[in-house]
Amino acid sequence: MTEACPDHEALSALADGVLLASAEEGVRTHVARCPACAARLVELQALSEALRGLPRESLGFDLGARIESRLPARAQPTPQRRWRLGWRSLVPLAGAAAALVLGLRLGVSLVSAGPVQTAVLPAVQAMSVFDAVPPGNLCPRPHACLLVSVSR
Amino acid sequence: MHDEDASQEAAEIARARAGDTGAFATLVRRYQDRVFGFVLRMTGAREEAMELTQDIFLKAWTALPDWRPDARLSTWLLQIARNATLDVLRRRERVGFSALDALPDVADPAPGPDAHYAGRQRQALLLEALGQIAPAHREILLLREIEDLSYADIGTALGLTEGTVKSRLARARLALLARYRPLAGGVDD
Ligand SMILES: [Zn+2]
Repeated sequence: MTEACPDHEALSALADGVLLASAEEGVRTHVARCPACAARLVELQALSEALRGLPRESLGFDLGARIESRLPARAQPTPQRRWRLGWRSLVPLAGAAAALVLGLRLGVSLVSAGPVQTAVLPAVQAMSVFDAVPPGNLCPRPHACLLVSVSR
Repeated sequence: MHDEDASQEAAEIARARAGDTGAFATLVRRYQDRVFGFVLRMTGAREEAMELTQDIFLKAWTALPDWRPDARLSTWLLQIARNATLDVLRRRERVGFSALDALPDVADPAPGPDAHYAGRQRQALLLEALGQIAPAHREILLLREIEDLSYADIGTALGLTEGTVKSRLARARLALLARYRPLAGGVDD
């Protein structure tokens, strides 16, 4: 045998059927002629089969019903959207409020900023929190999509 | 999932997002065993996994308005499950929870016809080996082999590129084989 044996990653990908077509032919040809690699591939396939053969677990009760009984009905979506942005942004809102208080204490005039800005600022900050969440809103790290804790 | 089922589920998700708790309950019922199975295999503790599964769906309810259709709901739920489970495992580590205490929750298989007994014994040993490898290896194997996720979906759930999924899966398989081979060596067919 002149060619080098494929690495473990290539065999693992072959077992999953995800090797690029261009690479797959070469690896398959090698495996067909190399008993050591053939044995490694068989072992990987057996492991996969064993894992897939594990018994499926069942929770054993109707979690849907239990959860439903614990959930407060959510408000309708249209007015709820603004509300949700509002209460999720309690932290930036508190920050904005603190800044306002500080501004007043410092004697900074807020007249030019006006009521519009005080209303908009927290929402804008809240949106930046949402922007940090990638498409699909899949959490880049634990709790990234859990901006509020669930009350129990 | 067939297109028909997918569009029915899309409608259920839309209703749940709008605040329909009954529609959400339907989604919970559909995925509760998958989420529970994953959490149980990750933590090895049945009671804890039951409680965690409930927490995960409550978190999902809270986060549901932010879910977007470009993520499959099952993948998104598994991601929430995975993050919640890692939190629990980290907490365990902080309080000095020994890995041995968290051996998978498998009953000692009752003796029966020999072939079945050997099969169940092998499953128990595989679960034991699974409980001994690193959580990062365990979760990726579960997502691939039990949940049957594509490399792309695993990447989404774990926040990894497909290239990293490929290499981590390969390492996870080596790690599991290293634990499983010596355990399974003594099991007769
Ligand atoms: Zn070879």
